Amino acid sequence: MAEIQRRGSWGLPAHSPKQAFSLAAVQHNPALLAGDFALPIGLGRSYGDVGLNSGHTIVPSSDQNHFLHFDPVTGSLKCQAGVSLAEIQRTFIPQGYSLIATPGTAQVSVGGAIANDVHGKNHHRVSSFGTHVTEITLLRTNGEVIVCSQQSNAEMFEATIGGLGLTGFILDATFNLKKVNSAYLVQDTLRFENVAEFLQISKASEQSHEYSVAWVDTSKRNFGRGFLMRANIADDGNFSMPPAKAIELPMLPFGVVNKFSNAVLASAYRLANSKEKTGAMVDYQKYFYPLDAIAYWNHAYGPKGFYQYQFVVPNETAEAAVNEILKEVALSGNQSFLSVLKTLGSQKPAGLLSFTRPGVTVALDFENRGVETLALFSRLDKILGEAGGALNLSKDVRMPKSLFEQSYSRYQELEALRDPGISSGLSRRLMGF
Amino acid sequence: MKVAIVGASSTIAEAAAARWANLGAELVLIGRNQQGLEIVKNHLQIKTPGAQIEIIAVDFAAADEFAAKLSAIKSLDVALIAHGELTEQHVAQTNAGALAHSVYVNATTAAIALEAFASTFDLQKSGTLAVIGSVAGDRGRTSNYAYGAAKGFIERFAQGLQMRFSGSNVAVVLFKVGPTKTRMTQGMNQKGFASADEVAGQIVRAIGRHKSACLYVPGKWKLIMLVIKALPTALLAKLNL
Repeated sequence: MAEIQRRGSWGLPAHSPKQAFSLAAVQHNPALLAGDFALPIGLGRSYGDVGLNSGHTIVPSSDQNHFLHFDPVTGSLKCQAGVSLAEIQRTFIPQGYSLIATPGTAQVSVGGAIANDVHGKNHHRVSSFGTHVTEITLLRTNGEVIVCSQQSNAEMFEATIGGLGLTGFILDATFNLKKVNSAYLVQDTLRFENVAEFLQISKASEQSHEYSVAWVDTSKRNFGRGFLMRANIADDGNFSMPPAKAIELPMLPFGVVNKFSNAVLASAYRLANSKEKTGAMVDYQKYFYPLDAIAYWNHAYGPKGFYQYQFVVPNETAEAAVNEILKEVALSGNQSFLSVLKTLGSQKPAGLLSFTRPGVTVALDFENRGVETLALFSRLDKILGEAGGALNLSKDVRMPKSLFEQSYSRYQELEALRDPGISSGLSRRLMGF
Repeated sequence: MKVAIVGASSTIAEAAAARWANLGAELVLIGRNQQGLEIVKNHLQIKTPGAQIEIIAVDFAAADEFAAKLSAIKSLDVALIAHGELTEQHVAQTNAGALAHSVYVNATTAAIALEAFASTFDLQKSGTLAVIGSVAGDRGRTSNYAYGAAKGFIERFAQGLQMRFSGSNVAVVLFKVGPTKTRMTQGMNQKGFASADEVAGQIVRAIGRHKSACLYVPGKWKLIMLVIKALPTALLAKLNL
């Protein structure tokens, strides 16, 4: 290995692993990993340090990107861990099948989607990605291959879903796709004036719409206002897609997202969407993956990167806690331009360390302003802890250990099933190795 | 349309195969690893249901048998020779076996494949014969002259074939590919490398034109290599590229 690519995560630019081996190479010869901690990594879209392994070994799955089997009767797909969700959607939507649960970017690998048990805009109907996985083939660093499912090696199966890559290398996975009859969605845009109104509209929409997600303003003047975009997949048999061409944002020497631009962007975004609309036809890429149209949008934050603070609070405390957190953000002057609000369904989480749980989730992006930003997070953590909430591990780089232990109470069960040869920045920070 | 690809499980070849399958072409995938070829075939047939795909596993070491297997493919419209191995320069300098292997795989077997398909196209009086070379073949440089020399050999060979088929209905296309994100280069810092799919797209489009040519892919390498070729040796040596 001549030179190792400096790889950051989505939020944090600089990171230096000691060495990289491809998953194929490790599969062929697991002894390569002897004497060091390794970490499986996918497409690097996690925001924090869950996919970072500074000073140690990383094992990218990017060359393991093949479909292995598809059953067009049941919709069951088996593929290698490095296949991206974009490739799945691109391939199967024209064939009349779609992912059941998909996050807000398709630039994630199947292995990463399972390891972080990602969720999407229809969580209230279908729960998270891991819920739809039926079988996983896992390679442990000692060379052992474990095929696990709810029927066999069920404990390892549950620990691997949302297991942050710590139980072994996912080689392949089998999961279900659903039948669709269009590449388009029929979307309504509804305005709300405050969090209480959001909860009301969102609840009503859950009955009528499969997908629902909201953008919320965090500015001092308008915090809590926003609009909700709810949608159902169309039934028009139209699978023709405009060609996907992402524009690429180069790394800028300084961030262009800051206090001032945030206010301008937020106003512009609000204005552009302020008209209530019903029945708009939107293609699946625009609805599910709006930011994938700009490759490397994280570069807008400049070399210092940015933080995402994504939390979930239980329904009982949701209204008060979300209000309090948005207010705290608004008053701090650290406005978040991309602020996403969504209700989560009441299904049991698929994995031991799954983020999703019944309640309301909010994702806030913040320019990295050093101690000032971290101090704000500490204040938010306090509100969150008291409300019985949790932070999303795949977005985190700084949560206090106490909050982790309180909100991910099953972490000790994971420890017993971990692969002793695997560790990550996150696992060392929150679990000790 | 029937397309044969040698080195079909290489990243660029696989991306090109996916595009051809999508265009309805019948594919013959040729490579050294039966299992690897089966994975690619399976993958492509899931991507494009109903795609016609045949696989042929070959042993490069058995030159006559390798050539015979390629010559046996009939009614061919396109042949793409896409296999290659990156030998690290410092290894080639000290390990004679590795150097011999590198030259054999990157140069000799490519020439054998070119001749086998050339005979087929000669008999048919039509076809497009394409081969993937490299910008590394344009000039010997400190960092990669073992690999580069083998790729340079391919250019001379393709030039000769272009002369031989000049004025006929057989086109010979050489692609000088710049650094690309593939399995072959995954140990390198891939910053600024082209995507395999982008490279494959240009290759498939160029082959579709059915015209003899020598093309840099991506196109910007034409200009970059013009400069590199023009630099005085002493200066280039100093730059240690």
